[in-house]
Parts: sequence; structure tokens; C-alpha cells
Amino acid sequence: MTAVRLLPEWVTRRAETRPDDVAVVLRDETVTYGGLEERSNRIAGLLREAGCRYGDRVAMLVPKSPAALAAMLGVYKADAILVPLDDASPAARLERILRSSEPRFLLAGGGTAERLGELRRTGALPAEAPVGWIGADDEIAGLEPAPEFTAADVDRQPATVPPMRASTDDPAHVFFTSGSTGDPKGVAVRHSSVVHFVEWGVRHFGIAPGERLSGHSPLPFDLSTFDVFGAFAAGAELHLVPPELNLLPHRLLGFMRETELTQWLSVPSVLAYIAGFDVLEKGDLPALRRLLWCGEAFPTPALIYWMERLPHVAFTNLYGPTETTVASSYYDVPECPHDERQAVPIGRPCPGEGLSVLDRDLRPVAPGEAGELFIRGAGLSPGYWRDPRRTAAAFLPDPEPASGEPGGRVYRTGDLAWVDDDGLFYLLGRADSQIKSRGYRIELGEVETAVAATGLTQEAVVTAIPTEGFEGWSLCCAFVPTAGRGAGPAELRRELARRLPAYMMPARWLASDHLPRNANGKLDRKRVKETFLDQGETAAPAARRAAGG
Amino acid sequence: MESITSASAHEAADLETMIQRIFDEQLGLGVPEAETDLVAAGALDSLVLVRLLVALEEQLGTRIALDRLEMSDFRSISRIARFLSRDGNASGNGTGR
Repeated sequence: MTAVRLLPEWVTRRAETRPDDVAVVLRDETVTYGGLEERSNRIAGLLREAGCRYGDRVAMLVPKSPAALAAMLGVYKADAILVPLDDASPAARLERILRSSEPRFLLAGGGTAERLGELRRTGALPAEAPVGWIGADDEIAGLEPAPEFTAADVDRQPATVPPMRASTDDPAHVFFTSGSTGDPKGVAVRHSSVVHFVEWGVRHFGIAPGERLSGHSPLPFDLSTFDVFGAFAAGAELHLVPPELNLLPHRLLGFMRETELTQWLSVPSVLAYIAGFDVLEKGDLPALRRLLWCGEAFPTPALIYWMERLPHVAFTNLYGPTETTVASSYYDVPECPHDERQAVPIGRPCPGEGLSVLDRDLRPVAPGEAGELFIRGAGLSPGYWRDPRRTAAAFLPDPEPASGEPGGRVYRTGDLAWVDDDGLFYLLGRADSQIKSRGYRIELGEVETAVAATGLTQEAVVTAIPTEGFEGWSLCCAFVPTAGRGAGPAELRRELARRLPAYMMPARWLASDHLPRNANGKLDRKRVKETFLDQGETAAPAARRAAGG
Repeated sequence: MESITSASAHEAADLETMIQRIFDEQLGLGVPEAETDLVAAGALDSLVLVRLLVALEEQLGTRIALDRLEMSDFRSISRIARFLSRDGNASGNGTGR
């Protein structure tokens, strides 16, 4: 069996040998490997026929579903680069992503007709970018202009497609993440990087055919890559978690129980959220074999909560930014931590990748000393989409070239870290103003830029304070309302919602007639942060009960 | 279908006012009407829900039966009020704070 080189190959191979095996499930809809293969072939054929060429981008605005996954595979098979769009992002933000990625097509479906209409009306979606509608026909009646093709056109395509001409080092997709100046940054990810990580993951975790894996992360986020391709590579079933369950911890748990998931992978704040409501029982989830998390720190008290109740489950911390593909280090937690204050390490590099803690001069620091974390190896993105300046700033020549990838680059993570004498790495915090809240990467600069753009403030500071709540960090905005306008937090929030996704919305607001300044007359962000810290915080209801409050 | 007596209807109206104030003053979210669909308006996410529940428990001095929570109960301020005034959903003596 030759090595897998391109992402659709796992499904193609499985469809050849076991076409009736379940591939993807969402609520009452099930798709087999054979069905997924056929459907994606038809979409690929249609895209090619409609003029899609090697290297073209195809944007996708389809909620997480079997249809979305077929579309994803279809885009790769047409030798195109996928740009998954987050339906939670307002049109203004999607517009920036579309302007940067300049897709040849936008594939849409599944309840996004209104958003599509909005994108057309505001000019965010240029007329030259045709739309392919792969959802139900009745949803797009009256869409102007009419879609270039619809689901019926897909059905008319043959079920087989010519082989791909893309190579393993070509980008498979571009994930747009928060940008500090207000424009989202597109991280290109190669087929080879995903293959490398997925193959390691399936081997390391021993993911077996027929297992039932969770699909919690939305598709525009890097973590979903391991859900989707980990399942396909292992020949397992991907059980997409219905988003309407996300707010209700007992329903999420019900889903995990009833589906008899063997693997759960998510950002830790979902797990902290469930722990906060105290709905997990001792010995719960008997079918679960492993619990994986990635994307932010898992608060140790919440980790202890989970580990105490699920002694039969293997717990693993994964760490890595989108720029180095899903994760670049891992830590299999050997036993339940004894001390709530104990930090959980990010562990050791994944094979084929390397971690270094370097000082300002890019020299390695001694074990125990803090420095900035750099990553090298098979996971590195080729860079930011059409942004050579930011790419050059973040992807540097490897200061220790012998241990790196061919071409010798390292990615500067902006994470502060240290390594202990055993070679285990630990995170300390950020060197800049990026935070993770509920697992979402947020540049404070993006939020501040959006606040300024509302015109409702004379000046504003967006800061973040650590919280013991499940979200990890709490976004706070202090502002001086524009004179004569008198906008309060509620109005500012409403305006902001037109520019930013809900997860970037500040949770706390402070309207004031002036903001603190330091001796140089500059805005004193530290003082603003302290003001919010002094206000105290709220904890989850059950956690407060547990604390006797 | 539960029947609502005039006494609990009065209670529900008081609750609505209280909930509206929590949204306005504590959550910084202006909600136009008691029937406004909070989910469609994008007003309800995990953070808002947690803070809302904490505020409600504090102000009512009771515990909310979290395992009985359904999204349909929280879709609008009037539904939240009805949920809270139904037997067993918000009950017991509040623990002193």
C-alpha cells in the first residue's frame, strides 16, 4: 500500500474496500464511506466543469454536516484550495476574508441563504465569484443572482473523477484567524502537514476502525482537521455534535453517552463548562477510551474533576497553533494531578516536529529558564496567504538548522515557555496581546480596531483578564463614548456584533468620561486591566455551590 | 400543558421585569421585548447563559434545576420567566450569601 499523500485518499481507499461503513453522522443523517466518495466526486467534477483550476480557492459557507464534508473533499479533488467560512462571523468580517482569498467559487448550503444574500447585497461577495448552492432548493428561491449550480447539477455528474494533479506539499486549505490590525490572517496548510499529524495521531492513540469519534470543533477551525481526517484515516465514524447542544451541558453529556463515543476532542473550555455544572457522574461514559484537548490551557481543577470521574479514560493535552497544523506537542497525563495549582505541561514534540525555547537573540535558554517558544518541522505552514511581510516576521530561518525541516524555518509562536530537565515543555503565557477565550484565538487589536470603527467611541481599550470561569480569559472594554452621541455598552455591543463574531464580544464594559493615562500621556492599559480585575468575577453556578457560596 | 393561575401569572410578570433588568444592567444586552427571540438575536451564548443563571440564582435566592434546562425555555425573556415560575425549577431556600 503506497503512502497517503493527499487528504481525500483515506476516504477513497476506505470506499473501495468497505463502502458501507459509516463515515459521518449528524442527528438522523448518516453517510457511508461509499456515499461520501461518490458525492465528493460529483462535486469535484462539477467544479472542474465550471472552470475551477489547480490552485483556485473555493470558499465554503456550509454548516458542519455530511454535506459540508462531501463539499470539502470535492474541493480538494478539484485541485483547489478550500477556504472554510465561519457562519458565526458577521458579513463585514467574511468580506475581508473573501477579499483576501479571492475565491473562484463560493459553495453554500444548509441555512446560509440569508447570509449569502447579505454578502451579495453588501458587495462582500463580488459578482465574479459564482455561487454553488449544495443545499435544499427551496432555501434559495429569489437569491439574486441565481446560483451558478445547485444540488441537482451535482447529482447529474458522474460518480468518478480524474485523479488530482495537486502535490502533497501544495496547500489543502487556508484557515483565517484573528489579525491584530483588524484583518483576519489566512494560514495556509499543506496536505503533507495534515497527513503527517493524522498518521502520528492515529498510531499514537491507537484509533481503530469502527470507533466513534466526536466532531465538536467547527470546520473553519484547525482542530476540526484531526476530527475529520483522524476518523477517515482510521476508518472510524465521525459523529458531529449538533451545535444546539453546546449551551446545555447535560444535553452534551447525553449526546456523548447515547452515541457511545470512544474519543472526545475539543477545546478545554467545553469540558470546564460541563465541570462547572457538575453533571458528570463517577464511572460515566463507559465507552469512552480517550479524551483529548487542544487550543488553550485546561484549568487543573476542571481536569481533576474529569479524571476523578473517568478512571478508565486516557487523557491527553495537545498543543500547537494553526501555523504548525493542529498540534506539535503532546502530553499523555499519567495520573490525576494531586494539586489544583499544578501546571499541566504541553509535553514533548510530536515526531517529525521540534520545540525550542529561545531568548531574544534566538539562542536556546537553559532548562528552567523562560523564553519564547519556537516550533520547527513537518507541521509548518508555508505562511500567511498573500502576506509576505507577516510571513517573514513569524517564520524565521532556523537558528538551529541541523534539527529542522528542509529549508530550515522555525515558527515564532509568541507563547512564553520553559522546559524542565526531563525535556517536558510548559507554557507561561503570551508575549503579545493575543488571548484564547473559550478556545478561540483572539487578537485584542482586532477587537479594538472594530470598536474604533463603530464611531461610537472617542477612545477605547480592550483588555483581557484571567478568570476561573470556564472561558479562561474574559474580554473587557473600557471606552469614552463619542461626545454628543452618548452611546452606552448595549448600543456599542450591538454595533460591534455587525463586525465581530459573538466569541470576540467583550463580556465586560466600562463607559467613562476619561481613560487613565501614564506619565507619558499614553493610555495606561495596565490600569484599565487592574480596574476590571478589581471588580471581581462570577463563577459558574455549580462551582459556586461546591465552594459553599 | 400547564395551566397558569392568576397568582403565578402575576409572578411571571414580575419575573419578566427582573430578567429584563438583568439583561440590561448586568449583561449589557438591551433586549427590546419580552418575546424577542434571544437565540435568533445571537444574544445567548455559553458566557451569557452562565452569567444569567448566576444572576438569577442570586436575585431569586434559589437554586435553578440545571438538569431541567432546555433551550426552548430560554429563547425569550417571557419563556425564562415561565420556566422559573414552574414548580420545581427554581426552588428551595437560597443558601445565604
